[in-house]
Amino acid sequence: MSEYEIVIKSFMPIYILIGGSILSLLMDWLLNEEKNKHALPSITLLTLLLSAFSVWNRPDPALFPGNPAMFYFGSYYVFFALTSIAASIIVVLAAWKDMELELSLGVFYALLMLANIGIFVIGASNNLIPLYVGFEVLSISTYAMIGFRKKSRSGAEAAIKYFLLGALSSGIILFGMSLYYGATHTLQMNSTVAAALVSSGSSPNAFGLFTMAVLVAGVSFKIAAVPFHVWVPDVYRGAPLSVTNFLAIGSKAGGFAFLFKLFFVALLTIKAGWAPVWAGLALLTMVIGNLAALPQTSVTRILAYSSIGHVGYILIAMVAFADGSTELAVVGALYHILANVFMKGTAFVVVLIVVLTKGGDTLDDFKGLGKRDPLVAFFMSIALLSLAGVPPFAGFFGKFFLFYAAVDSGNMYLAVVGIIMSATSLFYYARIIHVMYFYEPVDDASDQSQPRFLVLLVALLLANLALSLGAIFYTRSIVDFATQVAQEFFV
Amino acid sequence: MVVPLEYFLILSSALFSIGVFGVITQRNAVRILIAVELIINAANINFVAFASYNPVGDISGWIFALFIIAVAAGEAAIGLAIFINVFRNYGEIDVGHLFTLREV
Repeated sequence: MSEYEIVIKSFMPIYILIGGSILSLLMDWLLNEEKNKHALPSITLLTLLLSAFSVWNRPDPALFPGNPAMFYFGSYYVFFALTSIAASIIVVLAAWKDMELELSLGVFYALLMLANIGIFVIGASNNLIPLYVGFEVLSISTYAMIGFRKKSRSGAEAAIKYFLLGALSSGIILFGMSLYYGATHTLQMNSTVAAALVSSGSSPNAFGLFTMAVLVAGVSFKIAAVPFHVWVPDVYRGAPLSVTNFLAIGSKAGGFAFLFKLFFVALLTIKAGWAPVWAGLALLTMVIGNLAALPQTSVTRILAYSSIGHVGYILIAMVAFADGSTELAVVGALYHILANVFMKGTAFVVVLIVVLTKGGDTLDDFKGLGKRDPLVAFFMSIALLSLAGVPPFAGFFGKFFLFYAAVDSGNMYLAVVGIIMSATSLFYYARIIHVMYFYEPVDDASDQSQPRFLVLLVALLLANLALSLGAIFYTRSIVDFATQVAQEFFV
Repeated sequence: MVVPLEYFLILSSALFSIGVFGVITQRNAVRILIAVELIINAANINFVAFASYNPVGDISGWIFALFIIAVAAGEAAIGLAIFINVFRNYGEIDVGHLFTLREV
C-alpha cells in the first residue's frame, strides 16, 4: 500500500461520516418531511454501521506516514470510536420518535454524525492541533444539538449555559496548550518532549505546574468534575432527552478520551504533580455528586447527579495510573465508560418513554410504572441496579476494576470512599424503583400508543449482560487489550 | 531591536486575566462571549510568540494559531445563533435572569 492509500484508508470512517452528514443535509433540502421522518434515521444508522465496519478494517497504525506521525489509529482509537458509535446508535433509535415532529431533522442527524467525527479525531490524534480541533468539533455540534428545539425555552436556556461554560473551558484549555508548546517547543504529544515540564526529580517546574493547573480546570468543565459541575443538571434537564442521552454517554466518552490523551500522554512526566489534584477532585466529585442526587425529585436530575458521581469513580483511574497500576487503571476506566453507555443509555431511554406518555419526568410520573408497563419498569430497574453497582451487571465490574486499581496502587482511601458512595447511591436509585413498583398509577391512562423502544431496551440489556459475562470469562483478553492501550500511551 | 519573549507573555497573561475577569463579572451573554474571545486570543498570542522564539525552529504554533482563529469563528457563530434563540424565547440575554431550570 502506498502512503496515500494508508492515509485514505485510515481516515475512511471519518470520510463516511462526513458523507453521511452531507447526504442527510441534502435529503433535508430535497425530500419532504413525511418521507424524511424515517429515511433520515435509517441513513444515519447505515452510515454509523458502515463507519464502524471501516474502523474495524483499518490499516496497520504503525504505517501511518509522518515522522513523528500526527495520527495513530490504534486500540485507543478503536475503543473510543466504537463506543461513540454505540452511543450514537442508541441516540438515533431514541430520537426516531423523540425528534420526529421537529423541522429540518436532517440538521440534527448531521450534527450527531459530526459529533462522532470529533470523538474519532480525539482518539486518533498524537498532536495538539487535531486533538483540539476534534474536541471543538464535538463541542460545537453538541451546542447546536442542545438548542435544537427553537421554540423550547428550557432548551434555549440549557444551550446558552452549556455554550458559555464550554467556550470558556475550551479557551482555558487552549491557554494551557500554548504553555505546553512554549515549554516543550513542539505540539507533538509524547513523554520524551514533556521532560521540559519537570524540574529536578519528578516534581513539575513552574511551567509544568501552571500548564497542569490550567488544563485541569479546563477539562474538568468538560467532563463535569466537581467543582465545575453546576451546569450538568440544568443542561440535562433542559436539552431534548435524546440529546441529553448523547451528552451523558457519547459526549462524556469523548471528554474522557480527551482527558486521557492529555494527561496520560502529554503530561505523563509530571504525573507526580497532577495525581494528588485528580485524587482530590475524584473524592469531591464522588461525594458531592452522589449526595446532591438525594433530595432531587426529577428523575433526569437524579440521573444527572449520578452521572457526576460516575465521573468521580472514573477519575480514580487517573490516580491509579499515576501511582503505577497502569493496566488496571486503563481496564477500569475503559470498562466503566463502556458500561456507562449501556446502563445510562437504558435509563434515559426509559425516562424518554415516561416523558412521552406522561409529559413529565418527576418521581410522581414514575408512580405505578411497574403496573402500567411492567416490561419497561423491569428494564429501568436493571439499569438502575447496574448504575448502583449491584453484582451481576456491568456497572459492578466497572466499579470493581476501578476500586481494585485504587487498592493496587496504594490509594485505599479512594476505594473506601467509592464504596461508601456507591452504597449511598443505592438509596436514590432504590427510591425510583420503589416509586415504580409500590405505588398505584396516579391515573390509569395506560396509553399504549406511545413508543416503548422494546427492541432497543432488550438490546441494551443484552449488551449489559454480555459486558459483565465478558468481565467474568474473558478477563485475560480485557487486560491484554488494556495493556495494548497503555503501551500506546508511552510512545 | 528585538522585543523579548517576556513582553509577549506579559501581554497574553494580562489578556487572559482580563478575559477570566470579564467572564466572572459580566451578566450579558454577548459580553461573556467577548471575554472568552479575549482568552482565546491570549492563547493565540502565546502560540505565535512561542513559535517565533522557538529554539528548535518548530513553527507549528503559527499553524495552530490559524486553526484556532477558524474554530473560534465557528464557535462564535454557533454562540450568536444560540443567543438569538434565547432572545426570541426570553426577550433578553442576561444570564443572571435565566433561572427557570434550577430547583434545588
